[in-house]
This record gives sequence, structure tokens and C-alpha cells, in this order.
Amino acid sequence: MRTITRIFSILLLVIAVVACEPQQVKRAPEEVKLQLKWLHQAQFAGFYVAQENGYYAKENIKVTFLEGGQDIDIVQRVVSGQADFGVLTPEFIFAARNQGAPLTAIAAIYRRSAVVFVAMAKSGIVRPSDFIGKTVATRDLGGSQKDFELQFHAMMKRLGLVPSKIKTVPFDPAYTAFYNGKVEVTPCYSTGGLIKMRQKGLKLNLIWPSDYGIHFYSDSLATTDRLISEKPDLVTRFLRATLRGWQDAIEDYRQAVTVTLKYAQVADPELQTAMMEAMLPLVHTGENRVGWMKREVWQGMYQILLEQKLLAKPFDVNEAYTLRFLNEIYGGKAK
Amino acid sequence: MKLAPKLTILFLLLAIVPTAIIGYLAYENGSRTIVQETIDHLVSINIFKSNEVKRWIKEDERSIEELAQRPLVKEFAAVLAKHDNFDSAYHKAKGSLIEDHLNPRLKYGLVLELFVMCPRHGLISASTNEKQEGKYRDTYPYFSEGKSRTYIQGIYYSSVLEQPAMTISTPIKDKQGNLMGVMAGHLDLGELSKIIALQSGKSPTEDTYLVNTFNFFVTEPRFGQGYALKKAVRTEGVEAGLSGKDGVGFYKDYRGVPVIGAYKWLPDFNMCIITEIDQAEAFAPVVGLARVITGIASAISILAGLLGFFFARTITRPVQQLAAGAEKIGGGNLEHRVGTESKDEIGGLSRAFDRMTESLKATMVSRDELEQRVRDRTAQLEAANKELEAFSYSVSHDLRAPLRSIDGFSQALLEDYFDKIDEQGKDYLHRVRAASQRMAQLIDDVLNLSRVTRSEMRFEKIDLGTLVSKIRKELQERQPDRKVEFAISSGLVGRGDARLLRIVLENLLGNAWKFTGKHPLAKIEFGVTHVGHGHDKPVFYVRDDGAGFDMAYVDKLFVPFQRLHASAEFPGTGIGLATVQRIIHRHGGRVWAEGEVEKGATFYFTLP
Repeated sequence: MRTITRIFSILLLVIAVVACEPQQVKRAPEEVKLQLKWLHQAQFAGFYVAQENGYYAKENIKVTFLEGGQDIDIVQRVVSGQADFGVLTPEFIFAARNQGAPLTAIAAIYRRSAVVFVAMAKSGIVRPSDFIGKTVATRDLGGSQKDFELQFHAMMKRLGLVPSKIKTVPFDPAYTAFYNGKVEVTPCYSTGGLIKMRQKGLKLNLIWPSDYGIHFYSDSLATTDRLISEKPDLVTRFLRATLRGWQDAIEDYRQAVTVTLKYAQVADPELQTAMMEAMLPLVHTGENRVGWMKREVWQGMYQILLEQKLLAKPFDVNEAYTLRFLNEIYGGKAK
Repeated sequence: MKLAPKLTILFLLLAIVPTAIIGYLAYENGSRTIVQETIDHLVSINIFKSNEVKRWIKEDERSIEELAQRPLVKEFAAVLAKHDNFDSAYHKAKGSLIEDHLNPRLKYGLVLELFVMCPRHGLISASTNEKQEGKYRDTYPYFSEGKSRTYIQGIYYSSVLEQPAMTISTPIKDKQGNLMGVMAGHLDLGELSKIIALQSGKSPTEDTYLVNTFNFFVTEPRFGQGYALKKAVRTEGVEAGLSGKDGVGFYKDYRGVPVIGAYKWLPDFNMCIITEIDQAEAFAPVVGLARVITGIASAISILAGLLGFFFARTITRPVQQLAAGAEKIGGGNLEHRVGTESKDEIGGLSRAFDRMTESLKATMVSRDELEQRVRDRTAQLEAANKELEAFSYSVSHDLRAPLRSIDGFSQALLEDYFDKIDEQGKDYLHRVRAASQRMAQLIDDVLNLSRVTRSEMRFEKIDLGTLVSKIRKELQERQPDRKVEFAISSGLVGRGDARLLRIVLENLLGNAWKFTGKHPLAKIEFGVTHVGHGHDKPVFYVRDDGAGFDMAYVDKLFVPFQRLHASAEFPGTGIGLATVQRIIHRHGGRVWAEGEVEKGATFYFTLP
């Protein structure tokens, strides 16, 4: 009885001492919603790692991940304020900007495009000029695969090839026509379709648009101009935590896969690992720090979009992105 | 604590402390040497391998530079650079370049692919890998840098090769120094891996690898697969190496295993080389050394402990035997001997102890004999005494009958023949009667004396003062005309047989009465004194101021039948004081006398 009383009084004392301790003024964590480009998968591993490793919490941010999908307009979500940040490709940012939606890219996560054109190895098609007279499944379905068509045309233009000599058919995510030979060339993502094809044991020739001067950033992190001007500190903190997560992800992609599996819709470790391995060189190019962006790449992308008349009217490309936060986080050092 | 454990611990301490100190010093010294050797080895591996890598790259560089400086290559490059339209001259130049210059060089095995880029857009115009032709390399450092100098693009992930790659490029310039193209080659990293993975010995954990400035593995470490450019490493050694330092450290490696690692920054390649060895392996000889030292130290300690125990036993066993022997002898067993062969001090002590026991035994035996003899003699004496007493009693008794006849008939003669006997005859008869009566008195006294020694004693507390007063009364009644002053201390109590003590006091007071008879005024004292005798027992005394005696004859005072005065002067048989002495002696007391002629005598006695 006496022991219990004693323990109880000690507990009370401890509580009193703790309560009397000058509490650090800790504000409630700021809530941030991140709109992902697609369903949960290894493509967004860095965000999960940042969450799991507590980097967001360390910045006093509480992040909610919003999944993307076929019918989800990411631009709309961010612009309307349903989400604070969005993961989306530059062409959408340009399009939004062009239509007056104030979106700005703050970092490029995928600094190489995952878009790759594939042909069967035995077809002899090894470069874009070999596309002449062949069938290419590159036509946009009117959804998120706009980048296939975009890069295809940009590549043709760059190489001085006439697209009319190439038969284009709509892109088929099942690649049925490609498998049965009715379509000779199909675009796909190296982080998606390519893995499936290789899992089938197909021998393929890969034609990378980046080998022909088409440099596109892929998944980029964007937010509204309003958030940038009103809460620049929040943007910095969110980006800093995100980049740390991505850094961890590329430094130990197996661990990143493990984390991803907690979120992924398709909790297939083999698939997620393959996806992760495929995207590593896209995120970590071996040149600059994770997320870093280059003016000339943005200008190149803008130029291509302008040439393809995908922009209604010219505008200042430098408004579509900002290096301000990357500079702040990395101290202005690209490497 | 007992002696044996004390000695054992002392020996142990004496052994452990120096061996521990020496062992520690030896271990410190040995382990430092071993660790230093390991460190030197790791550092030398780093130096050796980085030199090998440098040599290998230099060789590749020279090989590619040599190609780029060939006049024909320059000519072909100029054709390829100038002609945008793919005419026959273009194809011829390209074919000759590949067939005559690039392809043969591939056979050396230094490079995987050799190619030439046009100076304007980095277009690959000729390549040993036909599939690469037509690609643009304008964004690649090996093109932009290679336009002006020989450039090594460190190890990067090539999405074309889908593997890590290293590319060396160099400008192709015409005689005027105009840029005609950039010659480049992807190096065979297998060679690099071979150099790095080269094992210098049989070490199972020695591990060398390269790490780039992004903390990524550049070559596969020994204990990882698919790490090259796919996994980052942020160990202490890597961080130190990447910060441009050369050195050695003790830290945990990429597996989390503690290692000794040597790191070296390679400024030419923007990489660091790391060589590590598991601490477990590196320290194995140290651990072995420690084991040996500990083993030796333990052996010495055990030996010392055993020796200590043994010595302690050699010392304590005789002591224990001695103690056990003393215990037995003390318990009465005088036959026991400790008995030791030992020559040391304790052996001496044991032998001395045995000798002591021996002489003690002899003493005890002689004492027993003496006692027995005393008992025998006492018995003999008692028997003789009894006989004597019986004899004297019967003699005394038997003597009385004739004496009574002598006295009776002498009286009859005096009475019946009173008239017929003349005066002289009557005088003679009177003398006969007196002599016979005196003899009867003597016999009575002798009988009394023998009774005193024979009779049973009953001890009790006796008020001596009262007894003395009673005797005084009797004496006064017998001679009422005498004037004697008595001084009797009251409350004097003694322990003894009432009847015998009465005899003592009757004799002493009777004597005092008798020997003061010639003084018209006499004084008799009875009292107690403690002084003058040396012990605490009360000393009673009877003092008179009568005739006294000469102290020269004090010895004869208590001898039977010895008299210091003529019986005519003071009548008596000479038995009284002998009786007194016997009674006091039977009580265990002492009796003695002091006196002076005509000044009186004092008789002292003590009682138990």
C-alpha cells in the first residue's frame, strides 16, 4: 500500500516538474496536401520516404497524400486550393500558365523523361528515321499521355522528318497491337510499360528522345504563385523535406521500395523494385543535386511546345518555374 | 582469515599484479604494432590501386588522343563535319574511319565503344556501335568539355548502356586548329573493377571500392551486388575521403560492420578510394595475442596459487598438528606425541613441545608415585597409631586395677593397722597412696589424650565467650578465696567441636588459674586479635599475668609430660598443653605461646 502511494506521489511530482518545464512554443503542424500524379506507387517513393523518415514532421508539416487517377485534374486541384502542391509534368504547367492559371514549378524530381520509344529488336528500327513508313502508336487518347505525342513530334521536327510519312495510331496501354506486330513502334514509360515488356522477355530496341535533343523534365513539384508569395517559408520547408526524402530514396532504393510497399496499390515488391531501379537514373542523373533545374531545359521545353503550337500565345517561360527555393535549400550549389 | 587462504591470496596477488602489468604492456605494444601494420597495409593498397587506376586511365587517354591526332582521322572528321548531306564521300570517309581506325583499337579491349561527334550539335557521326549513330550528345559533358581538351567524364549512369559508364573525349583539330569533331570512347569498366577488386592477400574481408561525390558506390563493393551507382554510402570513412582527406579511421562500414578503413581522395577523378578490413579480422591477431597473454598470465597465477596453497599447507599443517596435539595433551592424553620430521622452526617447536610433554608425563608419574607412597605410609601410620592407642588404652585401663589395689590396701593398712604402724610407716604408706593416686591421674590424662585423638568431631558454631565465662565460674567455685580478675571479650564465635573446644579452654584457663596461684591479685584475659599472624583468621588468646615461662623453652611447652615447673610448685601431669595442641591441630588450626618469667604467658590459637 505504502509503495503504491509512494510511486503515485513520485509520478505526481514528475508530472508537476514536466508541466512546470518551460514549454517550447511549438505550434501545431501546418497541414499540407500533396496531389500525386497517379496512384500510389514507387514513382513517388521519395515522398513516402520523407514521410516515413519524419522529415515533414521535423519541418512541422503534416502532409496528406492525395492519389491521382484517370479523371483527376491535377492542375485544377492545385489551382483551386484543394491541394497545396502537385506532382505533374512541365507541359501541364505550361498549359496551365498559358491559360492564366498561376502554377510554378519549384523542383524537377524526374530530370529525364521516362518516355521511350520501343521497337522489336528484330525489326531493325534503331533510330527515329527508321520510323518512316511504319506504324507508331503515339496518338494521344486525350488523357495524361500527352507527352508521348509531344515528344514524338518534337523528335521528328528536330530530325527534319516528315510525320505524314509515318502512320500514327492511338496509344494502347495494353500494347496488344505492338505485341502482335500490327504496330511497329510504341512509346512507353521506362518506369512502367517497359518493365512489363521486359518481364515478358521481349528483346527491344530503345529510342530515347533525349538522344535526339529532346530534353524534357518529367514529374515536377509545382505550387501556386499565391502560396509562394504568402508562405514562402512553408514552401521551403516542404521542398527541403521532400528533397531529403528523395535523396534517401535514391541512396538506398531497396529501403525506398520497402517504404513504398506500405502505400502502393499494387503491393508487388518485384514490380515496385523494377520501377524503382528504372527511375533511379531519371531522378539521380549523376550531374546535379536531386530536384535541380536548368534554365536551358525549361527554355527547350517551352520552345518545343511553342513550335508544336500547343501554347496559345507566347509568354515568359521563366514565370513557369523558380530556382529560388532550390537555391535557398542547396545554398546556390547545383552539385 | 586463516593462514592458508591468506598465504594463497598473497601468492596469487604477488603473481597476478606483475603478470597483469607485463601482460597489459605486452598487449598494448603488440596490438599497436599489429594495428599499425594493418593500417599501413590498407594505406598501401589504396596507393597501389589508385596508381593502377591512374595508369589505366592514362593509357586509355593516350590511346584515344593518339587516334584523334592521326592525320587521316582528322581528314575523315573534317568530311563528316562539313557534309550534312550523306553523299558517297561522306559514307566513304565514315566507313574508312570506322574500319581502319576505330574498330582496330577496340581489339585492345580498353574501350567498349569509340565514336566521333560533330562539333556543332554533338551528333554522333561515326561509331563502332552503329546504333548510336545519329544521336545527339550536345548536353553531355564529354561533348561540351571534349571540344576543347581531353576530358574524362567520371563514372555516371549511362541510360544508353544501362550501366555505369566512364567516357574519355578529346578534340579532333585540323592543322589550323579548327575543331573538326570530338573523339570519345566509353571505357571498359570491367578493367577498373578488376583493378579495384584485386586482392592483395587471402584476407576474407579486405574490401576496396570507389565512391563518387554523390556518395554513390562507383564500383561494386565486396559485400554488395548492384550497388554501383545505385546505392549511396555515408560512412565516416567515405565522408572523410569525399571531403578531400587522406587518412585512416575506425568506423562502421556500409554493412554496419566495424572496420578499419583507409580513405584517399582522388582529385583527378573526383572520387575517393576506400579500402576497409573488418575489425574482427584485423584484430584477430590482437585477440590471439590477448588470449596467449591471458593464458600465460592465468597459468602463472594458477601455478602461484597452487604453490601458495602448497607452501601454506607445509606451514599450517605442522601448526595444526601441534594445535591438535596440544588439545589432546591438554585433554589428559600424555601419551600423545606431535612427532615431526620437519627441520624448520615449526619442526623445532613441535619437538620442544614433545619434550615438554615427555617431562610433564615424568613429573606426573613421580607425583602419582609420591601420592601413593604418602597414602601407604599414612595407612601404615594410622594402623600403627591405632595399635598404639589401643595398647595405651588397654595399658592405662589394665594399670588402674593394680593401682586401685595398691591404694586400697595402703588405705586399709593405715586404717586397720593405724596403731601398729609407727609414724614413719604411716608416712611411707601415705606416700605410696599419693604416688598411686598420682599414677591414676596420669593414666586418666593419657586416656583422655588418646580419646581426644580418636573421637569423632562435630563442627558447629560456638560462642567462645560464654564458654569461657562458664569455665571461670567453675574455677571460682573450686577456690572461692582467690581473687582473679577476668577480662572476657563478648561475641567471640568460633567453629569447632563443642566438647573438644571446652577441653582446650578448660586447659588454657586452668593453666592460667593455676600459674597465677602465687599472685595475690591476678588477671586473666580472653580475647581475639588479628594482627601479628599474617592471615585473616581470627587469633584467640588467653593471657595471664602469672608465673610465665622462659621463651628459651617454648619448644617444650606442648610436648607431653614435659614440664617447665616443678610439680611441687605447680601440680600437673604435663599432658594438658599436649592435648590442647592435638585438638587445635585436629581442627586445622595453630597454637603457639608467648611468655616471660613472672610476667605471665599468652596462648594463641586459631580455628578454621
